[in-house]
Amino acid sequence: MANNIKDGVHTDVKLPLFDFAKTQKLYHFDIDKEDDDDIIFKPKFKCNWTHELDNFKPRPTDFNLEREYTRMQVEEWLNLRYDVSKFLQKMSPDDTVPILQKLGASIPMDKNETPQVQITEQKPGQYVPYHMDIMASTGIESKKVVERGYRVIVFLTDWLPGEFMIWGTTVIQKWKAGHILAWPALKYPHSTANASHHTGYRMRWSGLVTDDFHKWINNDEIMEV
Amino acid sequence: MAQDTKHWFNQGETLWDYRRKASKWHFDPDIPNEPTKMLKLNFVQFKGDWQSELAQTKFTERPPMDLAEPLQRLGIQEHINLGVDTRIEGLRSTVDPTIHKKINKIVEAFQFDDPYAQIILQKPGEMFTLHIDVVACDPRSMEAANKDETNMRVFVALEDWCWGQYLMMGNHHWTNWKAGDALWFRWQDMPHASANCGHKTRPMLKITGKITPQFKKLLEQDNVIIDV
Repeated sequence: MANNIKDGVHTDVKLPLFDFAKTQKLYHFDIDKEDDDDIIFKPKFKCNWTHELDNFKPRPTDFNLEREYTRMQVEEWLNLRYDVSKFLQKMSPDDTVPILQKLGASIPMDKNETPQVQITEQKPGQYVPYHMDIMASTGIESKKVVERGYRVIVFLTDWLPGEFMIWGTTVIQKWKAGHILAWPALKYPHSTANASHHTGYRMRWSGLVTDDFHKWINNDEIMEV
Repeated sequence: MAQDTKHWFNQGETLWDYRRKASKWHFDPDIPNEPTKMLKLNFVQFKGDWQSELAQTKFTERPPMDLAEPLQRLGIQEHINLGVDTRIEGLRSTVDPTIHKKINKIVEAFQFDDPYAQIILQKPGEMFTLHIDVVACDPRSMEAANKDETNMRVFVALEDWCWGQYLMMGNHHWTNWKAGDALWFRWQDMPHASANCGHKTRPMLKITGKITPQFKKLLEQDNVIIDV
């Protein structure tokens, strides 16, 4: 076969960031084992932002290869022969999407390190390869990401068959607009693909968290935006 | 019920729209599981080591793409409407009994009449967008295709599942399969999709053949182990 695997380990493809992430020993990497309860997937927001999605303006892919961990990640994806032009597209919320801008300010992450907020668009045929997040594009020091880094996704459109997500061994599906998915950034390997007939939109936060965040995320109250 | 009323193509004459009209699937994304009359997993499982046969396989065939053939044209129209390159489906290889001795035993075990089997190799970055099959071995009308109850289709995993590999049948997300696991589905009704976002290629055996009493009997069973 094209990839040589021995005892679950690649012998012919160099995976610099994935191998680094595995050395942090945050995840079990056992496909038969259930995940911990720190992958949070539930309804959290309520509002109608559908009309604002028409204002999505993708910016060009902006991997900054001067950053060490970005370089490691991109090298890994290129080694696996992924096509970076098929990755999802991003924009930062601006005044053309005022509801989403308001939503962007509503998650209590540690303000001492500016959280990064992006709206993402995943068209049919696009994907994000299996990887782990060191959040290199945020500029936050990797040691802090290992200790307190979190990512939160808010789904802006309902799930439809053909939209794929797996975090660890947890299949994420059947979301509704307003559901959130949150996880300790570097812990869970994950990937997504859109083989449906629809474009999926999400909003993604990257930052460090404090006790306030955990209280907020564990609260089941639905927030109106 | 959250009936999916918007799941149609708005332009072009697509295979999906024809096949969806003929499908008996519910098209409700909120229903959690699929009944065994639509989908059955591991009624039979195969044990054996066919890695050397996979290693010898040359994957050079593409899915059929003859735009003069109406059923194929409709399928290509779907990809164009979605803005997805048809080459995203990757390459495959027809099972050759002289090379694939063990894999061919798997094919024969289903006891179809006139079986046709291919190994579909899905590399990282490749996918099949959501579609409903049509068995288009020979050119024929959509009406005939929509009434086809004689052909059956099964998948057999040829390697263990790895992270980043996806396969969905209706609302059933098949994951963590093992080499030799089998899946039968009503291709006539079940929309399905797959993608490989992982680190490893995914070989999957697809077998199509005419239904027989022997296959019907096998399908009624559970976890029959066959050594090849």
